[in-house]
Amino acid sequence: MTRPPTTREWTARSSGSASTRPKANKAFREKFDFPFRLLSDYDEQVGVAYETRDPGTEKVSFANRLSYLIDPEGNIAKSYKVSEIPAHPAEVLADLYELREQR
Amino acid sequence: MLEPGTPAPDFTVPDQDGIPVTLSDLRGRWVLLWWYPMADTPG
Repeated sequence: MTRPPTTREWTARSSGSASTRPKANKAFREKFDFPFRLLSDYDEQVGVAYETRDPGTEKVSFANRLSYLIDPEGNIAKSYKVSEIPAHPAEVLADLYELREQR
Repeated sequence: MLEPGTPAPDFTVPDQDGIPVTLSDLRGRWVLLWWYPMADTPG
């Protein structure tokens, strides 16, 4: 049986994304010592592609809290509307473990 | 919201150091993308 990834291993491969400029993301990352990269989607084109804002809305300052787990082939494996922020990493890790076991 | 099985749209955006990150360069790995409203907000 494959060992499930630890949170540290997992976060090293994950990324956050926001409409924030890189300089603000850098300060945010350093403040909390995040081990993962923070991506700047400041023109929101990635957010549009991933439907993180409601259809038909103009440019927004706050993206919806969505996350996507993407498999090694580049396909969406899981989509999440994140409501319980503290519990979400464990939820994703459990899904990742299950998905890896199915392969 | 994109459904499971959908090809993840490719993109290139800068990370916190201004280094471009391209999703397709991460093929072969599991990747989590998590949107948050803006820097220094919870979650």
